[in-house]
Amino acid sequence: MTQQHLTVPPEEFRKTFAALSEELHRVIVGQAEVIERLLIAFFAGGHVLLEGVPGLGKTLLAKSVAHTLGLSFKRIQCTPDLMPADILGTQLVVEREGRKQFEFAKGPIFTQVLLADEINRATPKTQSALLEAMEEHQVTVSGTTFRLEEPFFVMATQNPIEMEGTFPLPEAQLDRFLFKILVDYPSAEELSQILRQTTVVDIAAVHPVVPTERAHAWILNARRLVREVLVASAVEEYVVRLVTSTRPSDNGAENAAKRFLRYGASPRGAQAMLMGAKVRALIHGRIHVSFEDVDRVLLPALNHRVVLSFEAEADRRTATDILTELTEPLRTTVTNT
Amino acid sequence: MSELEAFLDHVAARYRRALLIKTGLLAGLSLGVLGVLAWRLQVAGGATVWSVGVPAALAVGVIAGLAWWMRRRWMSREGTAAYLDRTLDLQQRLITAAEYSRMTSPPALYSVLAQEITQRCSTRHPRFPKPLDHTTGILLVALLLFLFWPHQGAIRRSLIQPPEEPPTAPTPAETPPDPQPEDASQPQDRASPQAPSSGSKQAPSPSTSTQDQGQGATSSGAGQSGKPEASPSQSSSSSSTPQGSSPDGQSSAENPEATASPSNPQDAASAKAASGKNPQRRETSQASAANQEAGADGQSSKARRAKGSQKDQRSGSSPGSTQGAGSERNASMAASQQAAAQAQPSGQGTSGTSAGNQEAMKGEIQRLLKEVSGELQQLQTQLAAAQRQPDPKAGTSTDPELYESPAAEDRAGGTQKVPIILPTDTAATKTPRPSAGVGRPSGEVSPATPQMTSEEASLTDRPAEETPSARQPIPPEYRSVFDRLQREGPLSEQTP
Repeated sequence: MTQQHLTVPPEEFRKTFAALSEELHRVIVGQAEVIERLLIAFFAGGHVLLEGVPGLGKTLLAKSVAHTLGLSFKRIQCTPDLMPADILGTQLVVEREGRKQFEFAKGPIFTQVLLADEINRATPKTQSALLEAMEEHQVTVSGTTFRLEEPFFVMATQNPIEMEGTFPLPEAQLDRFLFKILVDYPSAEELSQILRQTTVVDIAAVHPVVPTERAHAWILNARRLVREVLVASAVEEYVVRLVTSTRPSDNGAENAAKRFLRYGASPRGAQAMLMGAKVRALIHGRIHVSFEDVDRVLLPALNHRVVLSFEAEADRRTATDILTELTEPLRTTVTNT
Repeated sequence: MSELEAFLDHVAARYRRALLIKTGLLAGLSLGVLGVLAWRLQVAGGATVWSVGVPAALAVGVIAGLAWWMRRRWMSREGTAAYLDRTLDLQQRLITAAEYSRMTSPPALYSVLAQEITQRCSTRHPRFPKPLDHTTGILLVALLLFLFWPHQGAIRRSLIQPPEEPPTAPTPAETPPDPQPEDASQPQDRASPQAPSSGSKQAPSPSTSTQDQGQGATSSGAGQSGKPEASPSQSSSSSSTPQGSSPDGQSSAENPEATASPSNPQDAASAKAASGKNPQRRETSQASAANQEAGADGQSSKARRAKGSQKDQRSGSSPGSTQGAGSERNASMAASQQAAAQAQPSGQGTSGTSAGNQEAMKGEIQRLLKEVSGELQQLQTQLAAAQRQPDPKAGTSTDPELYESPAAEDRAGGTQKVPIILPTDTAATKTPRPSAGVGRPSGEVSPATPQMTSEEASLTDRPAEETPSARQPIPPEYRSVFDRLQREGPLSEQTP
């Protein structure tokens, strides 16, 4: 099989990715790393959790991504009184041809790009309504299973500073997000540009990069291409060593892992790292994964998959700090080998 | 085998070859440095344990280290791929391709990867271990330094220009009647710091110096140094003797090949230097033989000088005694000049020596050797006695009269006077000092002493507790207010 047999050639994928990123940068000033990670997670087939204070453009980013990809988009504003049926849909009694019967009214989850805004304001019951949809791309209501339309991509946002009236996401829910992307404040120059762009009459808008009529097929083929990216066993072993280094219960666990972590990363974390590394390799013009690709997706893939201990929280250590401390020796070894 | 595997095998073979060459070069240079180090230590007169054992141990360590080093760098095909990835900045392309190339049906992207590798490797070339790098350079410099740096120069200098004679120690009180030749040999023994073996102190004989230099003919010399009663003939067989005038007798002293080992080039050089003086030394011995024939009384001392010169010459040929070489050479040159000056008037005395004269000369030589041996024994005894007792020096801890002999202190009676008498002790005082000064207490009490008076004490009838103080009287201008408050209720209730 040669390159001609590939539905989406790697070069086309790289160019499309660059075009998507450029289009998103028309409305989102700065945040280049956030956009890159968001698109990596999308092409890797995962979901993202955006965490940042209000007003950083998270919702705008989600809507823009859906629009540039030519996909359908729906939004859920999570509140404490939001019910699972409000997300999944419900059975309604309708009268058809003189007979009353149940008919399923689809909820907002039946879309391709779903934005769950302030997801930590929803109750755990409502949050758990997303579990099946996110992992298996299907929902089950009243014993009936409904497939979701591919590509299905969930973007959830949460505010890290406002904890009153919120429900922290359970580990099972967190683990279903491929990346947790931290959205930071823009710089002063970026803020000036934001002001110039958004306070005038003609506000910039994004346009679909992938035509809507072929978006579905193209994205699925692109996702298949991602899975075809070559990975050496040394790189796979590196991913395994990185993930197992976060387990405090292992015999050879580092001291930092034992002190600051209660639970390490799951196998899903290793999958997320490798899939993210594959996409990153493609967008950097390679068809194989390098150690650097793994390093670059390490933190967004793992920082929400480790559970910190009380000592870590007392020391005000973040998951990013601990992961950096744990994986630094491994990365140094691999770089020097 | 795929093209990629063939490429990797080719690179691995080249790398291994370069690694082998470099390792061999490193090993050779390291062993060369250690060999020169061993030779240096041997020349310096170190013990065999140090001069041979330490370099040998280092050599074993170096070889083991190089083997370990080479084992670590020995590359397989996968190792070669990783090495090329690292050196050519291929970002794990080769290790990935090497893995997928073994598959029977490689994935779709493998061919693309192979094309990429071909393109990149055509423009960049792998690096192989260079035989000459910093390490080999350092080893080479070390080897050259060990070979040619200061020691060799010092030896050459000592051979060409003898250094100044070190200040000799004061001679003992009992000196032999003819101290000149002994003085010539005494500084040699004292000024040879590179012969620290124990035999040099107890038996500073010529054979001892030979033994200390670690040369080949040490066994007999060592036995004789430990036994002063040994016959002179024995000592003459091992050390240089005046019989060296015969061609056979020169074997050990004047034949450089017999004494200098071929592995020691410095010895060979010094032996060559010694052999270069052979004609002069033959003249000296012949002159001494002529003097024997003349039967003069001073022959014994002259022969001793000549013998001393030969001994000095022989010991001077050893590379270990650099300082002693100058004095030995001075003594030998003086003796030979004297002998030559005395031999000249006799003219053809040497040519007309008969067999009987030779026998007489032999006997005379043996007698002289006995005499020399006795003198040496005497000197040994004196030297040992002098070394046992340190010289007393006035004002130092070795001076026996530095302190007086300790006298028993009479503490019981207290009659001994204090050696220091102050003027106040003898000055007359106007008033007696009843409670001061040295002497018995007078028992008087000073009138200034406070007197104690008796006082009667009794318990008081009043209790110790104080009565509660009366309240402050209310000022008249506030009386009405207080009365009104008193009527309305308690004060505490109205207090906010």
